[in-house]
Amino acid sequence: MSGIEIRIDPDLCQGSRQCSFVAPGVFSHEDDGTAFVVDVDAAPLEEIRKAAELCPNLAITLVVDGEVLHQGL
Amino acid sequence: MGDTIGYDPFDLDVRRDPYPYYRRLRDEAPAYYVGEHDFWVLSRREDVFRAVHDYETYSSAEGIAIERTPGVKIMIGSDPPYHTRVRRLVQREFTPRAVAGWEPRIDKLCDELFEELLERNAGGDADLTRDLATPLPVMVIAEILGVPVSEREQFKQWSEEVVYLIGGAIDPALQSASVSAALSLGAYFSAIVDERKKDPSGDDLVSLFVRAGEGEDGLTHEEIVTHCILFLIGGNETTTNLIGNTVRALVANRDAEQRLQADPTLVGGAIEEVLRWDAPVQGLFRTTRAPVDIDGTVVPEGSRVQLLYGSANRDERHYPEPDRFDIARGSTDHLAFGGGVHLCIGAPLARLEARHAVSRIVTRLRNLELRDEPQLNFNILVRGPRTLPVSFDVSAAA
Repeated sequence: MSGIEIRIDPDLCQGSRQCSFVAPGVFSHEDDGTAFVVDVDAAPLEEIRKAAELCPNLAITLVVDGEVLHQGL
Repeated sequence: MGDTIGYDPFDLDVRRDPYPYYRRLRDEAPAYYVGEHDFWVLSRREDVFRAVHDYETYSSAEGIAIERTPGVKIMIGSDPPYHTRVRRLVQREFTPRAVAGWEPRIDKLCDELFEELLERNAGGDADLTRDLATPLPVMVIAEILGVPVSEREQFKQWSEEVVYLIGGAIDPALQSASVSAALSLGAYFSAIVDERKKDPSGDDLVSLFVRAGEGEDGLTHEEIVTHCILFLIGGNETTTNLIGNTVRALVANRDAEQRLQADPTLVGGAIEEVLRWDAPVQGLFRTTRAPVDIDGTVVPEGSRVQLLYGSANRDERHYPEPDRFDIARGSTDHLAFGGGVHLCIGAPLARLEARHAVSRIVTRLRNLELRDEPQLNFNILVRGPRTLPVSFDVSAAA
């Protein structure tokens, strides 16, 4: 049971796929690139944190065990 | 090492067709030192990709143009946390959904510009850069900023001159014109900002900046002016080049043009392929904050490094047959818009404008030919045709 929660704001996402480049396997994308989460355990937490931090559109918020590790817009 | 390749980014032959030179860099010197100008170029996709995702090692804080410009408070030329703070202010204005709100306006502007273009063509004087690729993005970004579209010719001239400056103005006469353009732009926007401060209730970008105030999360008067210039230039120069590079690509690849004429829904994919194949932004700069080892060559700490997006996108280590223009390639991982936190905020707008412009070109124009060789903008940062003299017939179907 993972305490990792990844929230993606689909309105903010521009579909650049940066998150999947940084943390492969965690995210998947609609045809237009809009990201959604498929498997929070597919990459180490550090990579997921980096993916959240590098999202150019500030679309990702990362919460671990109730603590906000990265706040999107 | 540098002597055996002799890559000179400012050489006119290199600028005319940089891609064979990039290939040599990738094969023989993936970290190449341009001694005369004291900067490095990274050319392999793997290295450019890693660099754009590592802002701690590859810092933007001394600017992303050739010359170091430390201390300028500007989103594109800063690292987090300042970068994030400004991006937070403006990000919502540039989401795909927000940008889609401009679509009817872009559509109407295209209609108007096409009418003029057809008239020009009837007189034997059509130029797709002057008549379409330049005015469309300038008018759209002027409206987003909330400044009079009537100034567009002046904006265009100023922004071309400023881009020349950041692209390595080597001719002193042009350099002084560029500096004076930057000052004029600053004075112009300073007056606009003062005006907006009296009533910042509008939904334009300048009002948004003003409303954010000068507090911890806001911007000073000077920072607002700087960002107005950034958005004006970022919003037009590159999109103009994207539309122009698409036209050049289609004229050089008639099979692709025919496929788009037969099925205009393929235009979006074609534009992605132009972004990969002939990137409007060829490469921006960073400063290294630590020594980096690139395939055995050490780039020292504190070096200026150009990340060659235009070369990364042609890397045979990543793309099969990279020099082939293939609108069905479906690549979604080119670096034309950069990457990481700095990935182009205007990418959705650039794509939308280019799609509308190019869709009209392939549906309405037939027998499109160049009347004369296009003049390129000889600039090591950006790439595109400054002129695109064409002739065409008008499609009977349209």
